[in-house]
Amino acid sequence: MLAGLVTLSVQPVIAGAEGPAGRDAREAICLMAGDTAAYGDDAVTRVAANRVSEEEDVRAVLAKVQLGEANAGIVSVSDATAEDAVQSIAIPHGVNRVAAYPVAAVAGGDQALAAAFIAYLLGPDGQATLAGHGFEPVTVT
Amino acid sequence: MSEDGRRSRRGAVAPRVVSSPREAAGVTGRAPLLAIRGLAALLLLFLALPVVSLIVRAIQSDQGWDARTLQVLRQALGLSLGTTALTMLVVVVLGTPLAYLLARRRFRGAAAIEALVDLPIVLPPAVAGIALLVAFGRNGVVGQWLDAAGVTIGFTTAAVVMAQIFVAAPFYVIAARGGFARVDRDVETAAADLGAPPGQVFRTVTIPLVAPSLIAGAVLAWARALGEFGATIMFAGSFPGVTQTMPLAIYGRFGAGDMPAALLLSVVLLCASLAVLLGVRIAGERVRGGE
Repeated sequence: MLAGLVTLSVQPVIAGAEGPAGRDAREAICLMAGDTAAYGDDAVTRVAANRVSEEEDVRAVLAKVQLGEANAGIVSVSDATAEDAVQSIAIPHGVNRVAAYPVAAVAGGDQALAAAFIAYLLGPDGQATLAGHGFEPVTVT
Repeated sequence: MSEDGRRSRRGAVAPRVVSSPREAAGVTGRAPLLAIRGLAALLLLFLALPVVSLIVRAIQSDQGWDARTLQVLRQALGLSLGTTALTMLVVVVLGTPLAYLLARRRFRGAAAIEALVDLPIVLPPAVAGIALLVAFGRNGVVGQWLDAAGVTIGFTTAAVVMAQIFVAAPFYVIAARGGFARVDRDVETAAADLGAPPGQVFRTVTIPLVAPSLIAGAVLAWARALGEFGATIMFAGSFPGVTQTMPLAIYGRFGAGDMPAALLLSVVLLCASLAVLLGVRIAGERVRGGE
């Protein structure tokens, strides 16, 4: 994965550093670059030098890759689903960033309705829907 | 030159309302004048409030110019001024002949061409961005040939200029077309009758007469290019120093939750725009005054 991004011909687009997608992408690059034996000492600098655009958000990154404008981009698994005409390369688990989305009932809200929604998410239907969109299973922590 | 010709020549140079407010009051009466002033003030207030608020909030903001904001300003303002200057050059060099032909030559399909020229004004910037992408993007109608030839436009400063030309050129062409159409042909004919070759007539008669329209159009087009955002971010992307112009940088700081920086950058852009618009207006008054 990173080997591709450090090659000069690959000009990746990454979401801006301030959004969650841009932050996660940068952290994953840094984690991957930790393997200096494979990528050399300056992998992060080289990837940074190859970037051609800091897109608004993860959807814009995907759009630029889909259009063929950009050679590569880093998006969440849940953003690049099967129907998108892109080739996905998984970032290895150990060096990846996982974005966690919490779910909770809000105080003062409709507790019964919230509980029903959370139960649905945790149930087989909800889990199947989420899995279909590239999300990992919801677990109670 | 006939008296009639001279009058219409003046009209072409400086079309303006000659009645003073006092005369207007005489015609309309006191109560209607009050209503007119009230309505005008209402719109003026609405236009001024956001601008004033921007300045007030920027002054109130306790965060000053830190190194990062200065860096963003330097890169983005430099890029904005550079790209809009290039855009103006292209728009004036290519737009003036087009405006001249549209004003002077009646030919088949002129209406269609005029509609085409006007179109980018009506198009939402998002449509302009997508249109530029499918035309000049790497897989675009033209872009795929350019790509095969090793020329990539996307994510380059050239893409920023192209987006600006696309959205700004119509403002110049429309103003210039109107200017050429208002020039009294009798004056040009008179100059030619007195022995001036066509080139000299154009240089010494037509251009001075049409100059105010050209300048007004150029200022409008420049202002539009300076504010260009949607088509640029879609077609050119956003990268500091390469494609991130002032509007993109301001939006970037705002999106990052860095409101103080967004405010400061906004005020700079505001002041720069205001200075140019005011400067051109004052210079225009002076030219008309010296007439």
